[in-house]
Amino acid sequence: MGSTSTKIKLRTSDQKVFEVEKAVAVQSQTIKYIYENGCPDSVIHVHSVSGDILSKILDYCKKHVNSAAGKEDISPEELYEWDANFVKVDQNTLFDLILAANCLKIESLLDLTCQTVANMIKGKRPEEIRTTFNIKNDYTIEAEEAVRRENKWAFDMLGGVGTMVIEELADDTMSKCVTNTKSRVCVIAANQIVMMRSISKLANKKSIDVYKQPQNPTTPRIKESVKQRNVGTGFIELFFHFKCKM
Amino acid sequence: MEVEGEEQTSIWNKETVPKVMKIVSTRLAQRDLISLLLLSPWIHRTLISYPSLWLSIDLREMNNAGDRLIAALSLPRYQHVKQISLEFSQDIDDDHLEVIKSKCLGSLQDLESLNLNGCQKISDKGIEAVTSCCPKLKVFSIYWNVRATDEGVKHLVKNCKYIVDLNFSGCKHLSDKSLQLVADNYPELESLNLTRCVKMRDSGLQQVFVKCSFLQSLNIYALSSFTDEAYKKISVLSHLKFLDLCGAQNLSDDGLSCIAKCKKLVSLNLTWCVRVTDVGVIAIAESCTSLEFLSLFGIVGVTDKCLEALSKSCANTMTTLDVNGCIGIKRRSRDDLLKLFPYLRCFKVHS
Repeated sequence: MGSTSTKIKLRTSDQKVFEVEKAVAVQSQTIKYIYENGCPDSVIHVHSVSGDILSKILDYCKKHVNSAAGKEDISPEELYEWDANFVKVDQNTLFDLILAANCLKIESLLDLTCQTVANMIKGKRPEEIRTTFNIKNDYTIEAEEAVRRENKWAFDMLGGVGTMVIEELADDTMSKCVTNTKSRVCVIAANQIVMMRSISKLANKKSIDVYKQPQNPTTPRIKESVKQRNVGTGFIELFFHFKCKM
Repeated sequence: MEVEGEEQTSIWNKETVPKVMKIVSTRLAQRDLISLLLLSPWIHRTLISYPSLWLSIDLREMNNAGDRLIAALSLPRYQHVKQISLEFSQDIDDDHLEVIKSKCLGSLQDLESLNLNGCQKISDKGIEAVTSCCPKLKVFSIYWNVRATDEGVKHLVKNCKYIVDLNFSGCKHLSDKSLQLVADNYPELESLNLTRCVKMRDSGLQQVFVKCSFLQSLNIYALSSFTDEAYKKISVLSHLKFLDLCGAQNLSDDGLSCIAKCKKLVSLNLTWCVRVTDVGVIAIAESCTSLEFLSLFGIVGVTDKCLEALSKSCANTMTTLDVNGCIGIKRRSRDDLLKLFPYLRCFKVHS
């Protein structure tokens, strides 16, 4: 009849049955498809998801549906915090949530959980990643060495490029970002004039090559190259390349 | 209990972790993605079996880029690579590209996008070598390459028939010959960046306008030698959305009024177009009703009148407006501008 309190029944892999409001259940594109193309009265089997995990997922979906519909008075910041707490679970649960969100096609939950794991991986060496996720190193010594060798090209031994977006560039911020990096730094800033002053100071203090391709030839006497690019927001990104001679 | 624990560990390592890593991998930068390969043979096998993860090689700003590229391209998983970026990398020259041509020919057959921005050691020879390997190339960018000449462009158009996006910004030796080659060979061209190609003149540019009628993005930043002869012909580009005319000191109101015929314009940069007055800008306002980004920086000949005209047609779409230095406009404080353009977010483009 199109009533707003239509319920959908979901049965999990461990035979638990959940009765859920339609609006919440169809957050899952998979369930939505089955519901719209199958018989709406029978139970939908979610084979690959356990009761515990589905319960958590339904909490998430309910929270987000209610907040979007204005049924719950919660600000975007509060929702963001709620999400952050939602993913503070043990690893097994987190991984199960990812697999379930993937299978049920719940995009926002998949993004949230995957980003959490991605953040735990970013910048870490393989040994560290293994420790974080309790991964057994099943490689033989020879096999591991072979894989390392063939992928050596992808790793920059000098350390990566640090990128910072600084809108009002202060001189001491500038020196901080240069001294904190082992090799090179890209600084994106909107205030070209302040940047020029900072660079001159630093170039004298530390042996730094600063390259700039001037748009309007301006003061600094050091060789400088800047790639100037207009970006959608209207800010001009100035890329500075510093080669720190250590 | 012992056996059950081992089984759990086995499932964790051989199934759960590889599956999850595959799902997460699309959100990882190249370096982190490849770190995953080193974790365990199960993860390695799972990730390698998904070709969609290995369509891009990112060597931006890395040293020894030539050697790194050759190493990457010799790996089977990159046989169908679609996108390679060597932007601002170092130590890549013509010799590396010759090696790639002779050894890794097969791997570049599917390449669609090649970024050689800032690779200043590459010359026409290198351009010939690399373009001869990638017949399907669509996007080619060699920003700030001062060795590239019209010869290099000749090789490009001979080898790559499907280019839609070209960036020659800063390639100061390219002349009208290159423009003729582009016009004759790329009728489907959508995006062209000629920033600082100072040898180019009106006649070359006109060729492009006439033959590349699908252009959506045109950047002729800092090219003061063009005149209304060329600017007027921009009017035929009915699909044009993005136009950068910064520094077009010869652009008159006449020229700008012709440009106004490009009704789909979304972004227009008129910084330092010092001959322009209200007449030209009002023509734009009346015709280009979807304008979101406009810079009038440094134009002293415009007044509040043109802002009123712009507000009438583009108040709902304008999000970036730079009128710094426009001393003819009396009411141009942040508040004044927000009254006319309520969705403005950015007030400064040029610094």
